[in-house]
Amino acid sequence: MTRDYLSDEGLAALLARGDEQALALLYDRYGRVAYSLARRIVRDGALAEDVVQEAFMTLWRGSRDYRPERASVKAYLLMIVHRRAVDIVRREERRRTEVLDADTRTEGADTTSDQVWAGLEAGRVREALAQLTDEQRELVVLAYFEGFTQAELASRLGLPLGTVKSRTFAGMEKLRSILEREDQWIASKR
Amino acid sequence: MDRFEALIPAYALDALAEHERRELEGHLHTCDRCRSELRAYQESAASLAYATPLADPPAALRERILHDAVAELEPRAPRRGRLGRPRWIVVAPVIVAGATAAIVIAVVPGQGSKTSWIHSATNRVALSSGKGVVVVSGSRGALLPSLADAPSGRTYEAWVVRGSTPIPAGTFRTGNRPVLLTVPVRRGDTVAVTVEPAAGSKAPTSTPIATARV
Ligand SMILES: [Zn+2]
Repeated sequence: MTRDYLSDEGLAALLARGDEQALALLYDRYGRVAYSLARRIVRDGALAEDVVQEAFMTLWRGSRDYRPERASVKAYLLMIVHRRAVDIVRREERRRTEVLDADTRTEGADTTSDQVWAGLEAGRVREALAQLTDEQRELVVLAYFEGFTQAELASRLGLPLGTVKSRTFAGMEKLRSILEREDQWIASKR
Repeated sequence: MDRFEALIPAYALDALAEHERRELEGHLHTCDRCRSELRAYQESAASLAYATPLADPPAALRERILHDAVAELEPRAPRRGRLGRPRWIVVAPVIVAGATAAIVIAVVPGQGSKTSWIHSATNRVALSSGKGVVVVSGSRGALLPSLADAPSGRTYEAWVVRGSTPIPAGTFRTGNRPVLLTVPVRRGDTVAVTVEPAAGSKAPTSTPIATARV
């Protein structure tokens, strides 16, 4: 893994030249979170695999059009995963409610640096979410992980649409400011 | 702050109504400020993904993605995907004694698949010293190597040797994944593999580690 030190954006530039090793490194960095996110939303391992495969192939095929100033590679990739997964659950008439198989190894002994980083990121975002009000957190989590639109959330929770919109906005604004503040703090310690 | 800015956090969560989403996407083409707001909120949304318990995907998923990516390299034409399960085809174990790795190629169902011919091709020639197999169908050639990964700072390079002229046919660093040769192969050609500096070479700079006459 001689190119482990390359940034995501450096690897994205290599993708545009057809370098599949760069794709492998990006998969090693984000395949696990991409799969976990997809599986959380679609609640089906095989469907989640399809979503992840489609997302990485979209990144691979579109790498020449990728613009780092528009989105980081991580955000771009997870956005594709999220959008595809949400499309799938919205097409279903009834959302899946089965419990995920318990046999999958989750957050076991994290060894690689990528997994250690993922663990830190998980703790960081959970702490940030804890600082939202219960109402804000409920809306953000239901929208992101269950794939509900704001209109669906309003009717499901019996709230006026305007309330759903303003609470979601306030919740996301707070989440963003907490995470960005920490990013600056981390940057200043480097 | 224009009226679109209020839509951006919900857009980053994919929670807007269809008409709002389309309206905002139209606006994003023309508004730098909204684009930069969106970038920030998409970072926050991406961080949210880590709040879910992380589970390891099956190891085969990684292989499937990398195989499909390599298969699309030649030619690098966009192929619109759909959510289908790729079929797995194990290339017949014609690798000569000494080679251990079975080579597996993901083939996407449907006509015109970029790699299905590798499976159906009948013309297979073992590379010298059990280093893999060359597969030829018509004028298309592929290398199914059975090598260690290229040493650090070096690359493998495939050559189609016609008469006494080696023609560069593509570089690769991973020793066990299929490589589509970038030049057509004719009967009587020799396919050779050398180790080259990382950028590849226009003519071989070392003696071949494996050859096969096709
Ligand atoms: Zn705007």
